[in-house]
Amino acid sequence: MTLFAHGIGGRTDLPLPSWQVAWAAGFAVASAFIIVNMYWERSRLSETASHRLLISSSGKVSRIGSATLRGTGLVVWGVALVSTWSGSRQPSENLGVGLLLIWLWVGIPIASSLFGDVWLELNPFRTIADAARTVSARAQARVVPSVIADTSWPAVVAISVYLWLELAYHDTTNPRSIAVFLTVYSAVMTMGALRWGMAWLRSADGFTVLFGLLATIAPVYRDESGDVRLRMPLSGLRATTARPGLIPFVVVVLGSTTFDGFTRTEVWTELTSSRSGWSETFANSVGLTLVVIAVGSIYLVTIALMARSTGERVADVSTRFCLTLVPIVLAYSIAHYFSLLILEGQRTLAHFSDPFDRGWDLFGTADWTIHWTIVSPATISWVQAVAIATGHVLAVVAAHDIAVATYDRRLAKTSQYPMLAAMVAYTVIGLFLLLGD
Amino acid sequence: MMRWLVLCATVVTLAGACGDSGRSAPSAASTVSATAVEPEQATFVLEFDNGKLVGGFRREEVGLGDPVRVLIIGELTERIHLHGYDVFVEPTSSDVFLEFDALIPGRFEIELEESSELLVQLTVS
Repeated sequence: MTLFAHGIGGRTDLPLPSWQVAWAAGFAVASAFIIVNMYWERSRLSETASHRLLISSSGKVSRIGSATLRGTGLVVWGVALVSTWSGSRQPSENLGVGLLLIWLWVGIPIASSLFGDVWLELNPFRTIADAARTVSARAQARVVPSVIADTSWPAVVAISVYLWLELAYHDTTNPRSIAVFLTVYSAVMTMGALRWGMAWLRSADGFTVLFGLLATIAPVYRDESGDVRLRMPLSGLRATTARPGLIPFVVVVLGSTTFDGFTRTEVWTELTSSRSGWSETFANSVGLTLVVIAVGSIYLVTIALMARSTGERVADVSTRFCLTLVPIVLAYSIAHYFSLLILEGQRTLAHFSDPFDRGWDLFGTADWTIHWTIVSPATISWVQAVAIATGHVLAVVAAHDIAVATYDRRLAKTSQYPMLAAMVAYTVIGLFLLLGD
Repeated sequence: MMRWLVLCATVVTLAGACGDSGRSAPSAASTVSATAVEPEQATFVLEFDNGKLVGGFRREEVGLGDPVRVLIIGELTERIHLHGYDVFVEPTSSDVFLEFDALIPGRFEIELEESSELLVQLTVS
């Protein structure tokens, strides 16, 4: 059973009407062809264009804003952690469960893709480590092992643990399960950050890596001097290099969201309806692994075909294009979790009034009930279809831009056909899952 | 070129959005009139034998806004939970009704709470 059907809200979306799926798929395919054949022939997502300054790092706005975000992130994380241990045992009533599974996992990706790397400021581990650094000279950064300095492999492990907990484990929504995860995760991340600073978080914190990736498509970003600037959306993808481990990371995240969609289909529901407990966890784990492998295989085959037509090494092509999957990751996330954020997310916010289930009413929202009709099912369906179609278009645009910047005109076009096919495949799969069959 | 493309994209997107929107949720202010339901008239029936659902897992569909009465017969040994609406039925050996107004659109699970066994996938649309 999917996490969300079982605990947090108990509601999953209605399947998309088939006409809408067909429309979105057709739109995706058509737009992909148009973009590649008619659109730009010179790279437009330049990472070196000068960008408009929004907030200077030396100003008061920047300092107050940063301090506010850091303080908020630390406090909210602390409250969430405590509430998973001592708050309500009912998952839908527990603040910490909702904050992690809804507001962090769904809200922050959306915020990152619009406003830039907000998690960088909110990250409680970073805040703690920086505070320690200002207090003790001994906490200055040590020599960093190369697996941390140069790769993202630790984050692959971290995010896989989280995703297994969220999607496969049968007792996920038990607040105590989340409590254990949050405690262990926080401890590991904080200790690493104290020892190795930001390098650890960039390498090992699954959330820092994921939200940082999503922030690369945002029109707002922070440059090296800390100034907040405006730029062309997607251009951040060009400016980011893919470290070892990043491709598996993206594949795992995309694969897991795909698996989540798959668990809402009737096929899967029938397969697992009689399973519970560890038997259910086993089935989910197998399913999750297989889907991740399938998603990764599509990518690998695509890259291999592209490398054949451009004559390059597979590794080089793979590194160059892997970030173009990021818009698709975001699109899948929005498609599957948008309604969760808008509906059950309301209840989580209301729980701030009584975070530890003591009968408080700090903000007057303790009796708040969810406004279920705040968005209609038609709106939800529309958001889902448009999200997937848009993610697809953005991914194709990004891939095409990279191709024209790297190869000559003829090669740019021919090398793109495998990539196009892969993206159409991901899009059609994503849409097909929303049919709910 | 750019403007033409954006215009095209907008038109196509709106076309998709304006297509069959047959499904729309009732506004928060609308209420469902509670028509009197005969005791014999149940939306569907769940029959239990030895604590297990006769016929196994199945799917049911009800209309958005309908008053729903699920008749539960046979020996019920575990609590039944309808997710989303959070309606519970305690273990009993007499016939009972699980009643609620289907005001929330979506898909919901009805399960035996302790064994986590899935009984019904209910679609409200």
